[in-house]
Amino acid sequence: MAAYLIRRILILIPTLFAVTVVTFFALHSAPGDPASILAGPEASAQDIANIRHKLGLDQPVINQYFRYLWKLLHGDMGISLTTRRSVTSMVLVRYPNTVRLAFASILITIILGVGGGVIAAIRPRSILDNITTPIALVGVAMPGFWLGLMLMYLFGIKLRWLPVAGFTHPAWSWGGIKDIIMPAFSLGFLGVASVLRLTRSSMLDVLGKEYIRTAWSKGLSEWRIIVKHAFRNAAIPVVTILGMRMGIFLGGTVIIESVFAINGVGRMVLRSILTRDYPVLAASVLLIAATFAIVNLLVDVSYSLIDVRIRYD
Amino acid sequence: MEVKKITMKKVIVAAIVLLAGLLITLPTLANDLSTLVYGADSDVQGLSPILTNDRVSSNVTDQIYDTLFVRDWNTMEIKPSLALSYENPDALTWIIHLRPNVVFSDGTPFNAAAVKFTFERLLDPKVAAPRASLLKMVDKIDVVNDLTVKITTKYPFGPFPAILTHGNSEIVSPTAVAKYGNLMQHPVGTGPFKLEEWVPGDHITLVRNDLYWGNAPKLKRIIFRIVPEGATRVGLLQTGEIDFTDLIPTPLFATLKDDPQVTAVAPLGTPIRYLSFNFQRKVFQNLKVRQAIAMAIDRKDIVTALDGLASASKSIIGPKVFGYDPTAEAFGYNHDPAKAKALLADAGYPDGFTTTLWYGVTGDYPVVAQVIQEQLSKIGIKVELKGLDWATFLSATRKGDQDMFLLGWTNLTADGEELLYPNLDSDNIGGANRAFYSNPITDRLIMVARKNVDQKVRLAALEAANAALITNVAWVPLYDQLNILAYLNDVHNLVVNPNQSWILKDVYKK
Repeated sequence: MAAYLIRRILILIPTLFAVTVVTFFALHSAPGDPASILAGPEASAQDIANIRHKLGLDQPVINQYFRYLWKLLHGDMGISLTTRRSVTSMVLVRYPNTVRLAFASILITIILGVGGGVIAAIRPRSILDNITTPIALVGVAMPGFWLGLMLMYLFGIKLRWLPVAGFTHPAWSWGGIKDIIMPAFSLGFLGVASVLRLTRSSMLDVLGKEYIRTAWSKGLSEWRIIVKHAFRNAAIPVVTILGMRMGIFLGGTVIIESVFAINGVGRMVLRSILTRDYPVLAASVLLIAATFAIVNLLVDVSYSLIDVRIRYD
Repeated sequence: MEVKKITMKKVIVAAIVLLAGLLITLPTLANDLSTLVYGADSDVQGLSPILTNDRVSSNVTDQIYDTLFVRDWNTMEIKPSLALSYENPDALTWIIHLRPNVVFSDGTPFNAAAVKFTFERLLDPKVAAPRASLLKMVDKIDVVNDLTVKITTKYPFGPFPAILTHGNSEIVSPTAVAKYGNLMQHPVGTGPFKLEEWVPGDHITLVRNDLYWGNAPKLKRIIFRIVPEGATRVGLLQTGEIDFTDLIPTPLFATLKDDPQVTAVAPLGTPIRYLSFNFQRKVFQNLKVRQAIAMAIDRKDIVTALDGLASASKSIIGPKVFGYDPTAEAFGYNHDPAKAKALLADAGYPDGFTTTLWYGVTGDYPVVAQVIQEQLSKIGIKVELKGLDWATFLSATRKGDQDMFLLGWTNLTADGEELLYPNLDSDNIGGANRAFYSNPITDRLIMVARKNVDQKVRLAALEAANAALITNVAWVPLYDQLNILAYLNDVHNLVVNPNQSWILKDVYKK
C-alpha cells in the first residue's frame, strides 16, 4: 500500500508539470496582454511599452516560462502582474473557500443522490421512487447559475430565510452553514441525477443477490441489511462517480462563486484570464489540478477499504 | 422478531426537522449607522494612484488621497483642495501655493517636496505608471519653499489645472513609498479615510482618518464588498446587506425604482459611447460612406434597447464636458435611411458592402452592437459582429485589426482636450487613437486648445474642433451615459459626479 501511494504521488509531479506548460502557453497564445489591461484604453503607446518592460513581458515567452518554473521549484508562485501582490498570499485566502464550496456541494450530492438512490432502490415504484427521478432530471437540465439566481430570489430576497450572497461568517458556525446552503445546492444539484440513478441501479442489482436474501432470512434489521450488506457492495461505482464529480465541481466554482460573491479560486481563475495575469492563472489551475488528483487518489484508496478484496501492492 | 423497516414517514419527518432548523434564525443586517457598505463589481488592482488606472481602484483611492485641485461640478470651475491657488507668470510656468498644516495619515507633513516626489514618480519610466502621459508636458518641478511648487512645462499647456484634478495625480506620502516600495497594498494619503483591512477578492475596509485636514467625515467606516454579479448586488441592496451600488444592469433598474426602500438615480455623466471607423480602410476614407452610416443609425432604438437609460447625443464633446456647445448637435446627422442609401450609391456602393464591427463583451456594448448591425443592414451594409474579451479588444484595436468599432470614453477631468487629444489627434495613432484618424485641421485646433492658457480661446478652439469632427464623421456619437446609482433610503448626501467619481466624506446614514 505504502509503495503504491508513493508511486501515485510521484506520478503527480509530471502531471502538474504538464499543467503548468499547458496553462502558461495557452494563455500566452491568446491575444491581448496584461499591460494593455493595466494601462486602460486611454494609455499612450509609450506608457504600455514601459509597463511591458517592467513586467518582463517584452522577453521571449519561453524565457518567461523558465523563469516562472525556476521560481516555482523554489516554492515561489510569483507576483501578480495586475495587483503586484504575491500569488501565494492571493491563493491562500481563496483556496479554503473553494474547498469549502466543493465539499459542501459533494455533500449535497451524496445526501440527495446516494440517499435518494438507496431509498428509490429499496422501495422501487413507490411514490418516492417515482418523484426522485424527474426531480433529479430537472437538476441536470438546469444551469447552475440560473438555479442559483432563482434560489437567491426566493430564499434570499422574497422570504429572507438565507443570506443573499457571500461567505460572511466563519465556516463552522450557524451563519456559515446558512451562507453555504444556496451555493452548494446550486452546484451540487447538477450531480444528483447521475449519482441517484447509478446508486439506484447498483443497489437494485445487489438487493437481488442471494446473500441479501440470506440476511433477510437471518432476521437482520432492514437498516443493517441496507447499509452493511447491500450498500457497501453497491458503493464502488458510486464512489468512482463522486470522485469524478469533484472535478466538475472544482470547475463549476468559477460560475457559482461569481453568482454568490464567494471569494474563491474559481473566480480568481476567471479574473486572471480576463486580465491575462499569467502567474495567478497558472497557480490557480495548478492548485485545482492538484486537489483533483489527490481526491482521485483518495477514491482509489477507498476502494480497498470498501472492498477488502481490492489490494494495492 | 419484528423487522425494523425504514418507513416513508420517518424520511419525511427527518426532512421537515432539517428544513425547520434552517428557518429559525433570520440573516442579520449590517445596519450600523456609522458604516457604509458599497457593492463593487470587482476587486481593486491596487491602492496606489500612480500604479493603477481602473475605475474600481480609483473609487477607493479617491477616499484615501487628495488631488491638488478639484472640479466644482455645479459651476464647472476648478477649486482648491490640497493647493489653495495657482498663478501663471508666463505661459510655461505654474506656481502652485499649497495648503498649510496638512499631514498624511502616517503623520508626516504634506509639502512641496511631496508634490515634486509624486509627480516625478508618475513620470519615471522605471515606475511604468499607466497614466504617465498625463504629465508628459512637464519639464521640471522645483520646490520654491515648503508650501510653494513651481512647475515648468515644455510647451504652454492650457488644461494644466484640470489635469491636477485627475485621480492619477493624487499626492502620495514620500515616506510611505520609501518604506513600502510602492503603495499598492499600503496606501498613505491626506484624504478623509485610510485603509484598515483588505482581504483580496473579498472586501476592503476604510476607516476615518483622524488627521484629515478638512471637516471630519461623518462615517466611521466604508466597506467595499466585492460582488461581481449585477443581479446579486441588486439582491444584496434590496435586503439591506449593502448600502449602495452602481453598474446596475439596465433591466434591473426598474426593479430598484419600484422598491420603496431604495433610491435609484441616473444623472447624466461625462462618458460618451460612440461608433468609429478604422481610417486605414479605404472604404471608410470616403466621407459619403461615413455619412451614410451616420444617417442609418437611429439613436432612439439604441436608447430603447438600453431600457431608456442613455441620453442620445450627436455631439462628440458631451454636455457635462468643457468645450460643449449646444449648437454642436446641429452639426450631427439625423436618422434618414433613404438619404443614407442614396449616399452609399453615390459613393460607389449601390448594393452596400460587408464589414466587421468590433467591441468588448462588457457593459452595454453587445446590445448596442446588435442594434447597429440591424440598422446598417437596412441600407445594405452587412455587418459581422466581433465581440471580444476586453484584453483582446484593447490590443487588437490598437493594432488596427478592426473595420468599425464601438467604444466609450470617460472624461475624468471634464475638459474636452482630454477627449479629443488622446482619441482623435494624429499624435496618438498607435495609442488611444484607435480610429487611426489624422486631420491637419482638427490637429491644429486641438493644439490651440492644448497650448493656450486663455480659457476663452481654448473653449472656442474645442467647440470648433468638435464641430469639424462631427461634420467629418470621425466618430458617430451615439449617447452620453447615465451614471446609474442606487442606495438605501437611509443614506444621505451621496453624490455621484458626472465623471462617475463619488464623494463619500459628507455621507451620513439616518
